[in-house]
Formats: sequence, structure tokens, C-alpha cells
Amino acid sequence: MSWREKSTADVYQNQKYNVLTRSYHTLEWSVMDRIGHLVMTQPPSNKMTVEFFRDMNLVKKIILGTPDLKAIILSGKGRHFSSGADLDELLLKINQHAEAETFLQSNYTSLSYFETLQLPVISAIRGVCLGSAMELALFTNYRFCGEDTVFGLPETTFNLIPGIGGIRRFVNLSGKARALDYILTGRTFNSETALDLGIVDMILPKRELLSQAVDFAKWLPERYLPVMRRVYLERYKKVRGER
Amino acid sequence: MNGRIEWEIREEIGIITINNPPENYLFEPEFVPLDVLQKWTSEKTLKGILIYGKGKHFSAGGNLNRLFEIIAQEENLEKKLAAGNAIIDHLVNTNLPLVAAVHGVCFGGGLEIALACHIRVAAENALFATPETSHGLIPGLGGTLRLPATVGQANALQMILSGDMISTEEALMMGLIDVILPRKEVFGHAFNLLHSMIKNLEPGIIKSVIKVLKNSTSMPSEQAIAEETKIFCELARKEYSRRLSESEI
Repeated sequence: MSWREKSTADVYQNQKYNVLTRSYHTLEWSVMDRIGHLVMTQPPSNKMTVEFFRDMNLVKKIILGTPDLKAIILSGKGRHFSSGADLDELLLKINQHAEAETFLQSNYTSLSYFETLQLPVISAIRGVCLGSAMELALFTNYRFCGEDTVFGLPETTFNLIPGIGGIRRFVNLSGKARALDYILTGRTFNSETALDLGIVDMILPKRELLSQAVDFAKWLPERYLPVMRRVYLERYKKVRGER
Repeated sequence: MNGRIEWEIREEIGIITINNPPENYLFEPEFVPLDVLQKWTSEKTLKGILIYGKGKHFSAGGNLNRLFEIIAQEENLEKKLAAGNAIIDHLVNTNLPLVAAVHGVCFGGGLEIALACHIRVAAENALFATPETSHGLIPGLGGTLRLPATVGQANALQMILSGDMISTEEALMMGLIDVILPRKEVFGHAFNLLHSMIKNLEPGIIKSVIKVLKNSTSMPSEQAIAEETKIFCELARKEYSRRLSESEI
């Protein structure tokens, strides 16, 4: 590779901010200049394993307890955002677990709070963003992606369905006709199609993705944050089908 | 009366043809008897339903003369309308993908049938309207609910109160239809689209996806999430045992 991907550390190079970092096995949470960075740290594919969801539940408590955050940026370490759930592990777990439904619902709530957070949450997506990973990104408020990102909900091709709210959110963003087409065929789509479908808000050069997301988060006007929080709350209600 | 609505299964897709030319009026609010439709759709291998109109038009909707005839004969109109709604509900509750291939006029009850579908493919010459209010009536087959849900309140109110006809361009802009095609390609495109969506999937998976989608608007969100989780677990268990039995062989 001729280009080098910028990591969070690069973006903040030479800047002396008070950095607070917490590392988990599959995740890393750090706050720099009031912007929270949540990075999936199991490259190359950043698979969403059982352990990942456990870490997500742990970091959720930390995030909810962090005062004075301005925004959160969610990204994957390395080339890819995430390839989604670890299917073999998930199938095994559901079969062994007496209360698989409860387990899956806790997976759901470990991600769905991004919607209720009333803070701008930005997904910085590059590489692959498939299955549960796309569902994760759909829980966030903004989705920025690199040029050659691959999106898709391939669950039906494994005789399953998108199980953490992806069907409803895809349909809300792209309409029944197009969303059902992609969900039932399970086929992937590129950044341009994602933009057209309303799945992403911006396509950026891969190497600038993270720094642009940081710039955007910094640019978010301070005094409008309370207003934006209300907008997110309204949008959230709409997504949930409440009036 | 059955002759006015026809049924055929082609490559696991059920095709409902409105065959009452030239305008394809719906003879009754209950445009096909419920027990007949139930029998048609009970086919286990069915994976999707396509609705279209034979001849020049999709459907001009209910026949006003027939409606007044029902009232004149003192038949119970409420019951008849409820029966009509039951037909549409039954189609929706099959949890199969529903596609309408629309050409020519698509008015009133005809539009309400198309609105119950997930996807609407339209010909260049298609025209849409809800003319009920100009006859002193309102849309009676769920249109007052489904039209605003599809095109937004502003557009829906304009359409319903004015009764004006909407062209395909306007319909596409407001999200009433999903694609515009030359008249001759409409049926083929709609069929191929539906076929490409369902051909590799088990009916159970298709129905699960549609059911989850339906729940998201018909249920409080906590309940919808719980239901989604339950459906996912059922499928995951099935898939797990399928993989086990495959690896044993």
C-alpha cells in the first residue's frame, strides 16, 4: 500500500490534549478534546463476537458516565469497519444458551443507545461494513464512508435475517422497494449506491476519513447542541415509529 | 364473480389479475371472496404475489353505480367494506412481498390495493387518483391510512381532497411509485424484480423479513424488538441443526 491510513493517534499528532483511554479486548475508547473515539480493535475484519458485545456493554456504561462529550466517532482499526457478527459462534451460542432471546436483546441494547444518546454519533466507515456492522452503523446519526466501501445485509443468504433492527432502519432510509431488494437478495453495494440509498451522508477519500470526521465533530456548533439533541430525539422517535 | 379476479402461480409467484375490462372496476368492495383468496394463498411454496390489471388499465376502483345499488337494496355496506378491508389485510398478512405492476388508470380502490403492496412498478402512461371526495365519499379501503404513510400528509391531503389525477413523474417524486417503465415492460420487469428477490430463499426466510418489517410499524418498539429477536433465534436454531446434519453426512 502506498498510502498509509491515518489512525486516531496520527490525527492528534503534536497536539497536547488530555487523552483518556480505556482499552478492552475488542474495543478502545478514548476522549480527546471532548470528542469520544470508539474503535473496534480486532483487525483485519473487526468481527462482532460475543466478547465484542460484552465489551460494548461495558463501554456503554463508561460513555453514559462521561460528562461534557461533544460527539462520538465510531471506526474500525485497519482497513475495514467490520465484517459483522461471527456467524459460527453466534449459531452455537444461540443453540447452547437457554435464554438466547435475552442474550440477543442485550446485544441490541448494547448498540441501540447510540440513538438515545442525544449526542452526534458519527460512523467512519471504510473497507467492509456487512451484516450486523451495517446495522451498528445504522444506529448512529451520521455515516461517512471511504471511496471503496462495501455495504450489505447478507443474512438471508445464510438462511437468517438481519436481527438487530437493520430491516426497519434500512427501509426508513431507503424505502421499502429498494431496501427489500437488497435485504432479500443479500447482495452488497458500493459507496455511491449507499449515498444514493441515503445510507451514507458523505463519501470521502479513505485516508482523510477519520480526520474529516474529527473536523466535522469539532465544527458542530456548540450552542446548537441542545437543539440538535432535540432533533435527534425527534428523529429517534420517528425511527421507532412513535408520534 | 370469480372470473373478474384471476389467480395463477408462475415460478413460485402468485399472480392476481384484475380482469374486468375495459376499466377493470372492482365489482364489490370484497373484490374476491375471502375464502377463495385464502385457498389460493395457502400454497406452501408461494414466495411472493404480483398484482396487475388485464387490458388497458390497472383498475379504476369501485364502481359507483354498484355502490349505490348496494345501498338501494339495503344490503349492509359496512359489512361489505369491512370484507374488502379483510381481503387487503389478508394479502398483507401473508407476509409475502407484494408487488403491483400498474399501467393506465389506478384510481380509488385500485390505488388502495396498490398501496398495500411493498413495491409499485408503473408504466409511463399510468395515472393515479383518489376521486372519492368528488362523489361525496372518502377512500374506503385503507387509503386514508396508507396514502399519507407512503407519500406524506401534505401530498396525501392534496390528492384526497382535490381528487386530482397525478402523473407518473409526480407519483415518483412523492414516493407513490418506485420505478417508471415503458408500458410493454411493466409486467415483465415487476415479475423479474420479484423473482430475483425470492428465487434463492426459503419461504420461511422471506416471510420472516416481511413480518419484522410489518411489526416495526404495527407494534410498540419494545414488542417489535422482542419479536424480531424471537424470529432470529428460531431461524438460528433451524440453521444450526441444518449445518449439524449436513456435517454428519
